[in-house]
Amino acid sequence: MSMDVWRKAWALVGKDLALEWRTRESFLVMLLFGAIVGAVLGIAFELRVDGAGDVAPGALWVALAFSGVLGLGRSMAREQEDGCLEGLMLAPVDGSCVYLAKAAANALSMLGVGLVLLPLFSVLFGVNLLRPGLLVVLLLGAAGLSGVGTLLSTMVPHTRAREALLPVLLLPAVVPLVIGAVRATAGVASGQSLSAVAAWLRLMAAFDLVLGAAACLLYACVTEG
Amino acid sequence: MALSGVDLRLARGQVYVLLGPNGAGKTTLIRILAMLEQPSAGHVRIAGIDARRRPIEVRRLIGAVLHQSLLYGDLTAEENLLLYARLYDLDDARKRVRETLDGIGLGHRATDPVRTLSRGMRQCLSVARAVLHTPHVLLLDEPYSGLDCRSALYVSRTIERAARGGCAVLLTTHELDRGLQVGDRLGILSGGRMLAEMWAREVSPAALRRLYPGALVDA
Repeated sequence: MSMDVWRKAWALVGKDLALEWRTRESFLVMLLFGAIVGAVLGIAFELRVDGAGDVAPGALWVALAFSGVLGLGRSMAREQEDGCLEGLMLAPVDGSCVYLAKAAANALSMLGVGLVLLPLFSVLFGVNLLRPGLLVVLLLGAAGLSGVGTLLSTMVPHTRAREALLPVLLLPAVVPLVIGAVRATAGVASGQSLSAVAAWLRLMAAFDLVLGAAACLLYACVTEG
Repeated sequence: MALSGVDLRLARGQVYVLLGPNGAGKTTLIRILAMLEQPSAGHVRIAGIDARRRPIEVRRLIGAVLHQSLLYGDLTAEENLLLYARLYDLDDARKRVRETLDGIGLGHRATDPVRTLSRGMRQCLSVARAVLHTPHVLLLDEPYSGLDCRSALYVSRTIERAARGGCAVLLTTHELDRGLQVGDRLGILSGGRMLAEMWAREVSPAALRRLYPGALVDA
């Protein structure tokens, strides 16, 4: 890709971050929702299973996936207001550039939420999730959720069941990513090195690359009809 | 089918006003020319370039004002224009944006979020966004709708300036008098078909109403 594409993508990422910084609505809603999911799951598992800490990685990624759906929906709603996405489509910008920028901005939001949820889940589930290796897992997970979610969130506003359709389409699609993320998180949280969970990280990276590339190619078709 | 058999040629420096009632197909035509919708048949050429084959090049030549402002309400007027200036690779973007904002009388509101601006101000900003990159073709879909006199005057001046600079302007409206005032050439669209085309200087409002009363029920 040319420097031109990266420069324009950077301008678009800056726009999304500026919008989020000004309103903070998407980030705060995602964070609150993720925390509530964590609290509810924490209470439920504490009452029913031994070793609630063992389910912490699963609970974390359920919370991240669901809060990610909210963030993606809000991010796209912002583009639909006043026809802003059409404004971008009028500009001499390749669809893949718009996709990359939106996906990067969404991934950064998810990553930010994940970073705040890690200490919270550590407390709720009594397990140490404050390990540097988890940054890599969070990064790969956020990139994958955002990569697929950005494409789907652009497609669903054209349908009747907008809000309901995004989680219905996204969550099954990211099952391999979530499995890899949960396994890698569990491994790192139990004190294993990143190389010990490399197979899961490779799975996540492959998911990100393959589905991200496919979404990037499809994005122009979705936005340009 | 929203449009059928429409063949439209825009000349450089010409303001073409497309008149017609609601549902005539004016917006569909603008959206096809702006490459936001694909025609089921036919093609669009801008400055001889096929829009379907070389869309990015063609988009660089087009400026468009649609029903919606295409502006981010939570960004400031300046940030909105700067974003577009960067997407169009404009040199000296910040200076150009400042001059544009001063030109539309919004210099003092440059750092205010767009959602705090009045409807007229937003429309002026939307027009400024469309002409920021000095397009070869300017497409305006009902640009006067809901504007006060001052904002309407700015829109008219921008159209005149663009045409003087060699830009081909296509403007849709159902206000007959306004169309005659700003247009060089008029086209009447109804039911997706071009009923007639004429030079604005050769026709009076009364004559136009007599000729096409059915197409101008909203005028």
